[in-house]
Amino acid sequence: MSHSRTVIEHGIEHGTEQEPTATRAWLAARVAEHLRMSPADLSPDTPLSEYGLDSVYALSVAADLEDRLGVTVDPTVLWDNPTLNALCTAVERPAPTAPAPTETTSPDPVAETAQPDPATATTRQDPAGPTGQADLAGAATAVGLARLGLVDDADPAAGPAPTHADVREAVR
Amino acid sequence: MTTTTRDTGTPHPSPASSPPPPGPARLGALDALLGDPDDPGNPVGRAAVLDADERGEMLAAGEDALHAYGLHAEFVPAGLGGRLTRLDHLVDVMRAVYRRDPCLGLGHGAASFIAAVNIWTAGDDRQRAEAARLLRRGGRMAVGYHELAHGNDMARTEFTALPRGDRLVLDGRKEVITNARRADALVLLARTSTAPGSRSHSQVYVPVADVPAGRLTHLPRYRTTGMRGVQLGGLRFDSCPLPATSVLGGTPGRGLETALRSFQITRTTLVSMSVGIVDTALDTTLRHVRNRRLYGRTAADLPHVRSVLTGVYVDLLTADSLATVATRALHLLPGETAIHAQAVKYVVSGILMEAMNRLSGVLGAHFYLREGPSALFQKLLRDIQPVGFGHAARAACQVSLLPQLPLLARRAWREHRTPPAALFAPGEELPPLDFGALALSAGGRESLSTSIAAGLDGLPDGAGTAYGLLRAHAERFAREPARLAEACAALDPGELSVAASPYAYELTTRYTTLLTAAACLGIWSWARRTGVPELSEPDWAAAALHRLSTPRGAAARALPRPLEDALWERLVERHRTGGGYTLLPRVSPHSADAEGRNP
Repeated sequence: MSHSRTVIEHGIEHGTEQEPTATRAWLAARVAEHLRMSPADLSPDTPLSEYGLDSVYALSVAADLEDRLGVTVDPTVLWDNPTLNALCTAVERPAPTAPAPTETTSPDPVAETAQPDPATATTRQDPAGPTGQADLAGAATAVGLARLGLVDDADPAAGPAPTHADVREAVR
Repeated sequence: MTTTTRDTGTPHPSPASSPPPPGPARLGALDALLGDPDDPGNPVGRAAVLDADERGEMLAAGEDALHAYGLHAEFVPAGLGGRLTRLDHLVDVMRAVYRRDPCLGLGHGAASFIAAVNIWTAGDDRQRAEAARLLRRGGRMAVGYHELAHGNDMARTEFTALPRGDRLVLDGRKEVITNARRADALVLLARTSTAPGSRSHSQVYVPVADVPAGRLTHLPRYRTTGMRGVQLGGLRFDSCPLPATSVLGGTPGRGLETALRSFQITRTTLVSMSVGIVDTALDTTLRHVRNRRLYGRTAADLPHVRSVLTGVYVDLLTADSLATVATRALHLLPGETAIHAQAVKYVVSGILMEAMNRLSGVLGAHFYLREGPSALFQKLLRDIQPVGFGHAARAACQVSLLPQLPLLARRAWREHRTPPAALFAPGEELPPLDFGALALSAGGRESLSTSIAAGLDGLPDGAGTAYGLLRAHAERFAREPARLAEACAALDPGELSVAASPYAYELTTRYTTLLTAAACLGIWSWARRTGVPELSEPDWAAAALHRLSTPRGAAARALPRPLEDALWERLVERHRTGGGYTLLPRVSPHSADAEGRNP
């Protein structure tokens, strides 16, 4: 778990200091109720999967957000913006007109993980749809590419490379 | 990435790339290769199938026949040189295989299909072309999602394919994998990032010949109760380096997304293929009761026996209705099939297993014997079992439906969308299949469950028991979305996960029952309007809705006498002609034999 724990702490360090928005409070209450936790125990910069939020339920949160905010969001918005803060920033930001900038600007995949991916807040009007080019530019993808050594600015966090043993420990 | 069957793939000239003949012609060719099941000298006949099962081996002559037919080309989209254009045709072909031997269906066919659908959904052009070539040559693929420690909890996958330099390094175990040892290529779900969440997984495509020596160990074969010929194995990779380009589609982090799309196709069609198992089991039972003399008459003359068999027949038609609609929806309504796939897997598997159990009651001691004319039944009873847990467990399908329930209440059951008429038209034309169009989540939008209310005014009417019953049940089911909406809107969000109470699970059962009723009613209404023989008769649909209205936990409702008599006659007629026991009669080359055997 050591590697992913680093990710989280790092994320908090870089976390936004903004006031909790109404949307965030609503989301926190909703997710906390689902997880049978107190909203106060949900750190806004910790990936919600860490609390046990599963992938399939995460997809339905997108629909909850649509009905609450009257916007259209990709079902995977919570996969790509896995914390409360990231999610709120993603859905409250107007859809970008240019391709997402996060792919190469930030060399730190840790910070990227905790940051919103504007591309995923775009609507389904994107003809390429959820598998289109839009989310190719997404932060999660950039992190993945970097980790896999497929882009030049590969994982510079430069800790020991994650191993199979780390994963085994983490998922148990 | 856009992955459609229409515009992708380089054509690879080969015999399989000629335009596929229509479904029935292909079925005829397949039936001819499999030969007469009753012929004791047929190397792919019933006796040979049973013999291979006793040895726990795949039937080699059966695999040869399917290879000669080019079964694996059925799994390859036409755009990539194969024969796959319509999933309903694929199901028809595979049902014919499952009817003969479920081990051949799974062990020679479906396992490769599951792997392949991942590649058509997410692979890049090179991977798709390579996989298509492999399958068209008759090569096998295995698909490794499962790890014993995590069951259906895919996100907890321990198997890793982590980057090291410009390579991926595979580590870990995949267990209880069909054809693990016999496969020419593997599709494996692996963790490509150690980060938590849903973007850390990928499928990797591994041609077995590319694995460096000493890095892959085969685990011992798992022995099983049913499907005894199917080779279930395990794989252990130890620091196995592979090119980084092994990630399906080249972009890591899409593993769960690819799984959620691919599984819509494979969960729906695989369980539908398994209908072929019960089709043969019902045939075997009918043959037994019509030849068996008890108390001075045939067993088929006993009212209870007729009642059970007619009920099984109606349930098969019911299961086929939902499977047919869901399969057509993959072409017609790809935004909604994330729901249908779970419903089909849950409902159809339940009906099939229950049908087998009831048939075994009719056969009595003969379901227990591994000898004699009904010996195949005990094999089929064992072979059907994986339908309840293989690929996805029934309960896991219910859990996946839970988060949809409040959304359905807010959306589908208020919006009252109407599905296209083609959804309910078995065998009719379909638009091309677009793998990339399948939505990850239906987001509570689905038009099948509200189609009953939409069709109520135009419901065909007539005189007699069947019409009366149909209308009464249709009216009751038309009110069900509103009743469900009330219950589902009030569901505590804490109920929408594996921690749900039995009450919440029960709501998914009510919902899937509603979907099933809508499929039956939709198909019958369409058949009635277009005058399809048999299918336009009201008896089967009335009986289907009557049985679907059985209170939970109670024994399935007995049918009113006139309905049961009419359906029994039709069942006997299907037995006589060898037309099978699903919605559309199949053309059987062995129907003359069937007639001769059963005067």
